[in-house]
Formats: sequence, C-alpha cells, structure tokens
Amino acid sequence: MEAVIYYVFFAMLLGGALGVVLMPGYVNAAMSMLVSMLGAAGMMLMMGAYFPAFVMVSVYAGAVLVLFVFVVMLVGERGSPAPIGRKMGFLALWVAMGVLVGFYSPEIAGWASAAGDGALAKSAGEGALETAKNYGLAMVGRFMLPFQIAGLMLLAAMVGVVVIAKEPAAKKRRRELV
Amino acid sequence: MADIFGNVLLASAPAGAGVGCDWADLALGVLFSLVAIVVVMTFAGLSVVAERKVCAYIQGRCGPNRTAIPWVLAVPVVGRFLQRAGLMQLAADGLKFLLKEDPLPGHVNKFWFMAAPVMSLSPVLISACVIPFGVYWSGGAANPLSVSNLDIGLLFALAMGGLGVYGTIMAGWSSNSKFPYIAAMRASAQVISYELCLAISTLPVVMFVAQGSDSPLSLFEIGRAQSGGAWFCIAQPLGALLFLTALFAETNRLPFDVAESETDLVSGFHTEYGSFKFGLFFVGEYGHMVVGSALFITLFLGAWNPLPWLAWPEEWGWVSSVLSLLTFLLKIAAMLFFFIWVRWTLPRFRYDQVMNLGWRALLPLSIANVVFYMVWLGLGF
Repeated sequence: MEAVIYYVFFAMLLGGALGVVLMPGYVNAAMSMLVSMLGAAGMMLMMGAYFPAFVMVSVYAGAVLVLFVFVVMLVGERGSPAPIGRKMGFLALWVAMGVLVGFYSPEIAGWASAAGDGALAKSAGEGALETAKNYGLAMVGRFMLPFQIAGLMLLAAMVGVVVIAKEPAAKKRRRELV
Repeated sequence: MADIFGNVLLASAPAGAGVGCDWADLALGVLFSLVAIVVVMTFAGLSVVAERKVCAYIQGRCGPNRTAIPWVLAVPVVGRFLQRAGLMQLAADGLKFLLKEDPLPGHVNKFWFMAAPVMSLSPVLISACVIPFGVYWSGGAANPLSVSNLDIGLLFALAMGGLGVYGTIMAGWSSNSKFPYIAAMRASAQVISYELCLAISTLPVVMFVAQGSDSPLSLFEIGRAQSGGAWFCIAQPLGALLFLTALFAETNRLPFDVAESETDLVSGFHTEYGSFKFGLFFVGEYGHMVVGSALFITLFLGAWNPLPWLAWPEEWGWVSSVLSLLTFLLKIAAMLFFFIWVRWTLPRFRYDQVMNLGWRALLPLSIANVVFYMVWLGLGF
C-alpha cells in the first residue's frame, strides 16, 4: 500500500516536472509545477516531515504559484514558444548531468537515497521532523548554518534572474535612439 | 519510511506514533473521512436553503415555500411544515443540477474546464478531516472527534484552503472569454492579498496556546486551550476580526465577491458553466464557508465549549461528548447564518477598495497584532 502511494507521489513529482518543460503554454506549465510541488510535499509526508510538507503546500503551491499564474495571465502568451527540440535538448542535458554525477561519484547518489530512507530524520535526532516544535528547534539550532546558506543561494539566484531578465542598458539606449 | 496512515488518517493514533497499516485501519479511516464529508456536504446543502430563506426574510419575502414531494406532503403536520420551510427545495435544486443539459462550449480548454470544478471542491473536503468536531475521553485522556489529530492541523487547513483558489483561476482561464478571465485575475490577486492576513492573524492564537502545550499548531490543542477559560475572541478581539474579514475574502463571499460580481462580470468565473459543473462550484463555495466557519470557531469562538469560562464536564462521559459535538454544529450553523446575514446586508466593495483594505489596513494591523501579543507574552502577562 505504501509503495503504491509512494509511486503515485513519485509520478506526480516527476511527471509534473517534465510537464513544466514539455507542456505547450505557460498556464499548463504552471499547473504542472503545482502537480510537481504537491508530489514533492507528498514525498516529504512519506518521510515523516509533516511540517515542511505543509509549509511547501501553503507557501509555494498556495501562494507563490498563484502569483506565477497571476503574472502569466496578466502578461499573456508573448512570443513564439521555444521549439520542442531545444526543450528536449535541455532535458537530455539535465539527465546527462545526473548520470555523470552518479557515475563519477556514486556516494552522492547513495547519500540521496539514504536520505529517502529516513537517515536524514534519524541524524537529526529521533522524531525531529515530526512535530512542528522539534522542527523549529532543529531549524534555529543544529541546522542554522545550512538554512542560512540556502537562503543566501536563493538570494544569489534572485539577483541572477534580475540580471538575466533586465534589458542591458546599452541595448535599451540603442532602441530608444532608433 | 514513516507510516502515513497511522499518522494522517486515523483519529485514534497520536501524532508521531507509528501504527501498523492494515486494511481494517484503512477502512476505518475511509469511513471517518466519509462521515466528515457527509457532515460538510449536509451543512453546505442546508445553507443553500438557508441562504434563500434568510435573504427572503431580509427582503420581506417568503422565500421558497411551494416545492413539495406529494407523498411527503401527505404526512399530516410535518409535510406542510417541510413545504413551508422550503426544505424540499434542496432536493429539487440538486436534481435540477443533475438532470439539466451539461453544456461544453466549443471555445474552452476542455481539460481544465472540466477539472476546475473538482479543483475548487476537493481541497475543501480534504481540509474537513482535521476539524475537531468535539471531544471524547478514553483512559483519562481527552481525544478529538476528528478524522485526524494532526500535530499541524492549523497549517494543514490553511494550506488546503489556499489550494481552493486554483479552481476559480482555472475556471476563469479555461473558459476563454472575457468576463471569466477578469474574474480569475481578480480572484488570484485577492487571494494573494488576503491569505497573508489570514495566516498572520492566527499567529497570536498559536503563541497563546504554546504557553501550555507542546503542539500549538494542532486544532485540538487550540480548542482545549479555550475550555474553561476565556475564548480567544475575548483575549484577542482584533485578531478575531482580522481573521473573520480575511475569511470572507477567502471564501469569495460578499462583500468580497469581486470574482463573481454579477453586476459587472455577468457571473464571474462560472459564466460559461452550467448544470452539474456549476453545481460543484456552488457546493464548493458553501463547503468552503462551512470549513472556514469551523476554523474560525476552533480558533476564536471556543471550539466545542458552550460558553466562555465554561466547559462540558469530563465526568458526564459520552453525554458530554455528544453535547460538545452538538455545540460545535450549532456554532457552525450560527456562523453560516452570520455569513448569509452579512451577504444580504453589506454592499459589494469596489475592486480598488478590496485591494486598499487588504494591503493598507488588514496586513499592517495583523502584523501590529502579532507584535503586540509578542510583547505582551514577553513581558509575562
């Protein structure tokens, strides 16, 4: 029974992630992302990490993604969508990266699968991820530094997005001249 | 791998304890869930009738009082009463939704058009499983009458409530016509604005409960913290008002139903819908009201306790349990009446007024509310 539920969540997670890349149309992609997030939350549930699972649903699926959909609907579908070949190329690149990592340093892949078996929860002390209180204590206690580093990485990603999305000043000047 | 059924589905299992997953447990869990769904659906159905009757009385009319099933009408006194009360109108409405032609316009995105009504109803039914409808005692310990006594029930209910908006958004988008589209935009903007306030205004309650309990996010613990003491609507009147206002916005009820405003958007996000799909939206809205009222009651109106500073005594055993259940259901009915009363009393806000209220009034007030009670508790009152 558990195995069935595990594979359902697994299919949601992976199928949703594939859908984000392969589905035509922005709104379909956003909804695939929702499916993927719900699958991820389900995976966390299976690992006994209830608090992050529902924070994931509440914050990302319930609020951030609504914002995505809002922006997508406001802006509308602009420009021609990327050709399917390029999307498949990106996908192949990702898979190749995963295979490379798995091939050259199997201990990383092993660690990831061990974490799935609840090793992470055990390393954080018995039942650390089960009640909200323990989770909070673990978050501001033992895992303070990783938590902050993750936040810093997100900040870097955000700055990167701004840099990529912003029109270069020189190009803008040229367009205004024309 | 943790045992998902032991923790998520079964009422009897304390949060965190692993219970063997066998078919009897599963069947019991499904049965409990069905009971919870039946309760929510019954209340949703009755509130549809109540809506029509109450609005009629507010406007000086009689409301539906003709519909009758002949052989029920033949019952001496009861039949006539049921007809006058309009209770058989419920069956007529339901049958009408079921039997009418189900239109599928040619210009819609068929998949999302059909998925949207389900997406708006199912989160409501899921979140009903953490509501503690009452209390029972076994072996000296108090237990909730709920499908699942989740350690983070409050978060679960808020998360599922937040998912309900996708039904509205996708209905508006997939209808592929102007009015539903505008309604979907409004709905998504409104949810983003008011969900913050909704979540933040519950924080002081959690802080209060955390003084005496290890799992302050559990709805059962929040209810228990109010038995025999001041209800949280007395201790935190501003928080209760903020939560209630945000709840009206979340459930898309007047004065916040800009996503459906029939005066300027025909019928909003369900303009293109008819028959049973529209019926699902309809039931979803009322189900959302039922679950929202249950949340408000649990958080601020003393859950299953009859009066502030008064609780059903443990010594009465199962009598107390039944009374607590009845109290909770009565409170839900009162809240539904309040929802309907407000709807037929207040005019609809303009869209810019909704945004102003959300960002300029409710959000700062709710943050100030949290800071105030933080200082309050920090100073040791």
